[in-house]
Amino acid sequence: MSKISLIIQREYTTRVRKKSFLVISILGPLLFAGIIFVPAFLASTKNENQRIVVVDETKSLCGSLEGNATVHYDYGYCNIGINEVKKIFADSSHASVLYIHKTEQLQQVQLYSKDDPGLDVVSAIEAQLNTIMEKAKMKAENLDQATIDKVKSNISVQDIVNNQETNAGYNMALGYAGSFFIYLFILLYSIQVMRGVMEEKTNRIVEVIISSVRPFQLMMGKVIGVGLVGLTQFLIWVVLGFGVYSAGSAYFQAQEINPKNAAMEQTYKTGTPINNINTPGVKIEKKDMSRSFDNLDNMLRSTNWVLVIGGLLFYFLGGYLLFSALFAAVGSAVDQDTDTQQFMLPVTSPLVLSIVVMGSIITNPHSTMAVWFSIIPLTSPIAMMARIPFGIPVWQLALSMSLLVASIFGTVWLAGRIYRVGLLMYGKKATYKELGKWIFYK
Amino acid sequence: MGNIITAKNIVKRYSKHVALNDVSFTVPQGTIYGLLGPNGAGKTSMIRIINQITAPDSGEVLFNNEKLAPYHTTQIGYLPEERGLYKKMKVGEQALYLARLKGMDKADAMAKLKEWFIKFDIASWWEKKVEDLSKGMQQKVQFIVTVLHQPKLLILDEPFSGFDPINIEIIKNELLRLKKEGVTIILSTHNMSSVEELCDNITLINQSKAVLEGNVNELRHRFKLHVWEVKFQGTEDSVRNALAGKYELLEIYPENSLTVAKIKIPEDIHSNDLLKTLLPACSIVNFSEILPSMSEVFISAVTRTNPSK
Repeated sequence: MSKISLIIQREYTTRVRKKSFLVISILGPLLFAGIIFVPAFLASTKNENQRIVVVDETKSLCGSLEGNATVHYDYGYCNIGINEVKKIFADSSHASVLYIHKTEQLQQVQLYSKDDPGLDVVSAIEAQLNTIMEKAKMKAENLDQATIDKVKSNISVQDIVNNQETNAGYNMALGYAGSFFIYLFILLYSIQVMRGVMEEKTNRIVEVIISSVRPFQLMMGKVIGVGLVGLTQFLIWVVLGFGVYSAGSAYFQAQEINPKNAAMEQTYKTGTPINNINTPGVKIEKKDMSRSFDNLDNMLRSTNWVLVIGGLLFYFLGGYLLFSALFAAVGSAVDQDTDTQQFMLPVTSPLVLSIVVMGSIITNPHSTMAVWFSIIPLTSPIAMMARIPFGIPVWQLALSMSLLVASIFGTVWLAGRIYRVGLLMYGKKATYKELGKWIFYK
Repeated sequence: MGNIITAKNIVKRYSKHVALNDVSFTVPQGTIYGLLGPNGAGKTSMIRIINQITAPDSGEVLFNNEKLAPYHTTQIGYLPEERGLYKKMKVGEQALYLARLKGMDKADAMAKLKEWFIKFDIASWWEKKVEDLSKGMQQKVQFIVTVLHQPKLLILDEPFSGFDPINIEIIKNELLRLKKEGVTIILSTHNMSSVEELCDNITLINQSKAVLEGNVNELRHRFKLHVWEVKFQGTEDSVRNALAGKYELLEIYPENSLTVAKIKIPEDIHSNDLLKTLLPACSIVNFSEILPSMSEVFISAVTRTNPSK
């Protein structure tokens, strides 16, 4: 077995066997999924048993508010005074008391709760009351339902680029996520390379090793080994991500057609006298989550995943190779953690700069600045990833990729020159001038 | 037997100083060769060149009369002065890794490692992490890894530092055993008594130059001060009187029931003449030349070559 593959193997196995690798591999996608799904999940389950007592002094609304999956109205106390209800309420299983004062336009409505009922419940009640009020007013103005339906408009602009339906907001999100992901991975794994180099140098094992292998082999073995760890993590995340996504999508689809839910709705309806008022706003509210999920699903299906995942892979690996070589050189030039600062700044600044301008790139992905940032090698991994979801001219992609590959070779060569000298330099703090000289040592 | 290492006119410059200035020497096969010199003289630079860690600016090194090439690294075992191990790795795993980097295949390395671990009585450390080992324990592991692949040439830079006297003895015996098996050893050390004990030949590097090369015994003779030690029975005064004018009496003191005198003879006079002078004055029990220790040779050679301040 060749020596470089031995080194790669060691770098890879010692890292993959670490507990932290396992933890990040599993927690990473769960965290991402959590950010997307948990609020939705909570919204759809949390308030299932919010039973609300309605006390209506106007007497006209008793029974007209319609319960749903989150809210159940109890009209049994409609005609009892508010003070008495409050007394009973304290010991009952009800969550809140909705108190409608006797005023002309339903302006005074109060909700007494034991715990904070949450924005969803409050806004659901508001929406229902508003709808009821609007209808009542329209009726007073002699507008019938048919007219109202005719007047209603629902315009949605379809975004079509090069005969393909897209969605700017969604593309922005995808670009943002992709480039941030690249930034995170490049930084995370390049720093691991630097730490590895410093570990070998400060442990003083490096001289033993480079009496067996060339310094360049050691450096590349480390870069490739750590890169493979990153790739493994990436693949785990992709697989787990799709797994979690499928599970989430299955869950929301099941919710939509769940017969139990339908039956529950039915009990709410039958248990209460309903004035035949249609309340479309409420229905939208109820199915909001699964509907927005459908939208997401459609957008996800419209994405060119081969390009996005391929781009992620290419720009992660390319950017990683470029930066990890630089970080390896930095690690070789210093003795202590604290000395890394002076070299870290110039090395990380292209990454930070790309992240800073990324906001303007995703809002204007075809501006001159965006194009240049996505072509210049040190910034291209992040900048190009931000642009990819919007569709990139092939020549730009090709130019960016080939420049990146070319500069990888240049940087790796340069880093190797510094690395082989730096490894054996102890005690004195290196300056940029010295690093420059090292490049030309025999 | 030929020379395993021939260094010819090696020059190595760094940005601010010359580390090696036209250094040449040869290391005969099957011997223990001392590479000596004060701190910063250029020993480590020379050793790194032989290990192909760095390349000389000019000059060349021959390994068994071949120009030094990458495949030679598998025939060299190197224990650097600055040495360490991966702290988080297990001892056995790490030894195996380092052995395989030297070109051994896994099964062979495994079998030999087990032998050495038993020999050095450290078999129970196999699964331990390096960071749980003491410095001396780590040194043992490093020594094993250096010799495991049965190199033809061993280069040891301060091999005894960090060992207790018992382990120094173990390592010395191992080195002598390896020499018997035909292994050549280059030893760089400041421990002059171990040089006298182990080395056949030395090169002394001072201020980037090889200032002294040769066989250890010859060098001690070359640096001798023509001082003889006489142990005798008799009175001090009779000896003093006999020597007066002709020889310099450096020291005279009683030792047990005898008296010991240290006498310097002029270079053109033979030691037999001193004996003749002394014979009538006392009864001689022992008469021997005092040879300088290697550390005296070292100091005298270094001060001689250093420009006077």
